[in-house]
Amino acid sequence: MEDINRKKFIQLCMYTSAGLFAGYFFGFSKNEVDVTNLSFENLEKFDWGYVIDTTRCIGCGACVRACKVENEVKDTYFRTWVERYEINGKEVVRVDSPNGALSSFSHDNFDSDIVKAFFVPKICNHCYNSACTQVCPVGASYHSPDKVVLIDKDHCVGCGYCVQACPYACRYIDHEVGTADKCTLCYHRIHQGLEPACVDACPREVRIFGKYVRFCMNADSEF
Amino acid sequence: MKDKLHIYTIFSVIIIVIVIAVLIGGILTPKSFGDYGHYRWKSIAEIASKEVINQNVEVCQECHNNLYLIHKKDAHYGVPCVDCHGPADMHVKYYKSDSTSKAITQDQATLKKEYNLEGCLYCHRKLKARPADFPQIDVKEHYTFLNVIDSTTKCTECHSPHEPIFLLTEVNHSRLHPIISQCGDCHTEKVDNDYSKVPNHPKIFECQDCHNEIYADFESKPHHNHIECTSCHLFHKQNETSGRMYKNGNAKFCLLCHETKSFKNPDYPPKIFWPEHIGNLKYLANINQKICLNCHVDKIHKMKLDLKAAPHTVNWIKEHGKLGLNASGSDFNPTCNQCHETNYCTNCHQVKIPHPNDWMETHHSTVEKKGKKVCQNCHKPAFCADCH
Amino acid sequence: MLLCWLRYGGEIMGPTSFLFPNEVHITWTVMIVLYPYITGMVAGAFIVSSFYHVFGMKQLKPIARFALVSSLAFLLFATVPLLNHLGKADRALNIILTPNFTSAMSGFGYIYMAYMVIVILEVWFSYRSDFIKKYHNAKGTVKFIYKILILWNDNDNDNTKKYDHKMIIFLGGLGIPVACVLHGYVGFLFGSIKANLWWSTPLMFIIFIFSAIVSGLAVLLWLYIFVHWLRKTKVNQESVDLMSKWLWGFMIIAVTLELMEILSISYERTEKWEILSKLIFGELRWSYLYLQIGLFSIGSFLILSLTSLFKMKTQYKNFLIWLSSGMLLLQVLLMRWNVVIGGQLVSKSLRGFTGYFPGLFEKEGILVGLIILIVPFILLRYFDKLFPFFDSQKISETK
Repeated sequence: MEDINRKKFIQLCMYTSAGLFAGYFFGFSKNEVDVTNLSFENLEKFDWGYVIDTTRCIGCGACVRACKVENEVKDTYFRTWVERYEINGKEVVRVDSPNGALSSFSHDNFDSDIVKAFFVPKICNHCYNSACTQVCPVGASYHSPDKVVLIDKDHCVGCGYCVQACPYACRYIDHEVGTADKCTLCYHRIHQGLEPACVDACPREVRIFGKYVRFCMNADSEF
Repeated sequence: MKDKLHIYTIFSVIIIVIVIAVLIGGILTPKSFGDYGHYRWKSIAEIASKEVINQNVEVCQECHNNLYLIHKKDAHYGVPCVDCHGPADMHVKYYKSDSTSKAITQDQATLKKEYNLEGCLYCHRKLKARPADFPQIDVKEHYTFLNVIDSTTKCTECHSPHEPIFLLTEVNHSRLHPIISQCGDCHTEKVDNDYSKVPNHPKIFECQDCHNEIYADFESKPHHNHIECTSCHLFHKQNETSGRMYKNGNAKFCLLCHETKSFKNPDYPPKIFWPEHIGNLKYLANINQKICLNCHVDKIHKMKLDLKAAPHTVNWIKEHGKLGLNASGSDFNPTCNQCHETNYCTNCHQVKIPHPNDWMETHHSTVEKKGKKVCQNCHKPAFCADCH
Repeated sequence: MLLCWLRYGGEIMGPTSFLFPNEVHITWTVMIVLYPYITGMVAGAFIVSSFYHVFGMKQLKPIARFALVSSLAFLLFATVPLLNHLGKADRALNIILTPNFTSAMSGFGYIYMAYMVIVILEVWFSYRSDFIKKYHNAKGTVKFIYKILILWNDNDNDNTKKYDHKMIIFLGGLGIPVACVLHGYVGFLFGSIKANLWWSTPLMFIIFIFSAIVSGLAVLLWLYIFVHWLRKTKVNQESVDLMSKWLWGFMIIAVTLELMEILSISYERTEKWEILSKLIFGELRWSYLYLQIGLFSIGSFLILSLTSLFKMKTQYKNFLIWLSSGMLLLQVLLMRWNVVIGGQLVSKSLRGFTGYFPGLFEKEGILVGLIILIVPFILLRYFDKLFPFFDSQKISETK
């Protein structure tokens, strides 16, 4: 919504990656960091980039299943999900996400006359000026030095303010534990040189992840 | 002053309570809170030290390298192991045989392997929202096209999950080919019209535009009315202007349609039993080679088969049997000997040529084992009649 | 009850309805409806009490102490719905230990405690003379309790009364803005959530405060008339008349503000009107249009217009005032419901609605809600013994 910087970045990357492999364009590289060496200064050097190429997504739901398993996400809650948009000839838009696309999609929605249809995978956007960290009354939701939005599950009181404040509905209250929860960008994986579970599981290279090496926007670019 | 005492008293009480509360608060506040920001610094390490569950491909490759190489070469190269086999964390721990293995049972360590029809359809079900160039099927249409009569047939009856389309070369090394369009690339609905009849239709490049000779030959052959070029020459769109062409000539591929199986329509297309189809030459039944084409190239279209044809006909493998049978009498003197060593035939035929000196005695047991027809591979029936 | 008539999502939107997967269950339940309701009554009652103590409106003298003690009774229970709702209530102290001051909610701990101190102090100063009298008359353990209450200081003369009076004025004056913040921050909290289009408006803070004053006046009037009717004692008609006129006035302002908000959204026709109109005329038709606005706002407006503008027999007048106060109490409760629950029914995708029914016996269900609502009243009943606030003479007739 008003997170202009983040939204611009995502939009820019989506256009760039249409038909191309954006990862190679931006020069993503895998990091090598010792998980025991998580000092503030070291973490500050990271700047993660995450791009979703919606032209390639087939809505298989492998990302949703992988995230559920990796992060032990409880039933009926989702840290990532896939939405399907179908637009018919009368410009009626139908959006659905059956169980977050956990078991993919079983049929088309409109019987006929679909003019445009596509999938949009969604995760927490890890906004730079996130509403959720602003409104947490106890400081349990915060930005790590490498700009990942995390939740301290030992400090959260479960008031639910952050869930209300998130415009993307990516947060939820984990009722078994009583705290807020959301995508952590697989923080435990990325600091061991792996990719987040959803990125790893995607068979179509829809989700691209890496250390953000270079962001170039010169006068010749078309955006 | 005395009259104000109660006011001072109560305010003192309040201030003392506040001071005590602040002191207690200092003790109760988590230690690492506020170190680098308004959060508990220790929680970063706590979050980062969570155990990784989904194993990535490199971990699987350490033990299953052979399977990995096969998988890497075929169409599912982009599909990581975890998509079908689950997280495999228990599996890895169990087989690593270290201190963590003890707590895990064999049952927990077993990987999910049987992927039923529904699992494949997670990716490959035909949906309007999926990109047109992505291989997707409508189950009913697919089985109708393949003449499969049992609708509960699993995909894995024909497709190996690691090698779904038995590619001959690795995907990234296969031949680059200019784009060939299909109606479905632009049209979401099924199209009946021939595009040439539609005025102002954009030019669609079809195979016959460039490969007219082969296509003309294909049109005269039996496969023409039942499959298209891209059924055997799979085309994978890579970008807006080009893709990669894969050819599928192995016996494995031909048998997908032509091998008799319980779930297939027995009458159509023509079916054989494999490897019984090649009879006594069963030992040649390597389905990872183009052995069907050796005999049946005339049913498909003109093609360059590297069979060292000249001066033989292209289908010399099929035909040579007759050439060898011009002998009668004890001197087996086929015309092969004019160019080839006598033992050239043993490259395929498992028989000593010339036969051992005691063949008169030993051939009885050979015939018993392999049947009478074994002699007729090379000799006319009259040859046996010389004695029998 | 009327809650059963709330419709569930999907019926209005049909097949094009969409919810984000995490939105199927709402986060803030009926507990969060009750919390602003209770603090609203706290703030409203305190402000009424301050009208006498600070601004010297003599007509309110008979109910000033009653208003103050009511404020205390409700205040003691204000955190109960919050604690019940928190996922980890055992960590509730974190709000005081590590408050994140960029968040509107973080101030709650300190404001609540500060306001508690102010109210307790004011009650203490108000009742100090009574406690000292009771101390002298009591024996044994009770005497000891009173001794603690008066802090071992039984000095009671004209001077101390003068100083007490000054303290009460000071505390009353100090308490008005604190009470406004205590309740207003809730409205501000809702109004500043940009992700929820039913809540996001700068007016929310103002609307909440005005409807808090309405609920404070309404609960005082309702209780006052009801208790005196039960005890067959005479009400102070001047107080009742004044309060009911003020109730009428404040309720006009509060309802006008609420309706102006809706009018403004519907006239401006920004993107959110498409889904919010379906919310108002669909999901919330009964609880908002028919009940909150229709019956309880317009109805009580008409009744209070009658009682304020026309002369009538006292019996009937007081009954009508009592009736309309009750209606306004329900109106304010429904307003909280429609804001809190209504806002969460709308999907953030603006394409659909979810449903909500607070279970009967659940942790945050109807039964618990009723208990939380009723207990302050019971507490107030027992406060009457400790801090007697109705000193009116008995008469043979009712009202």
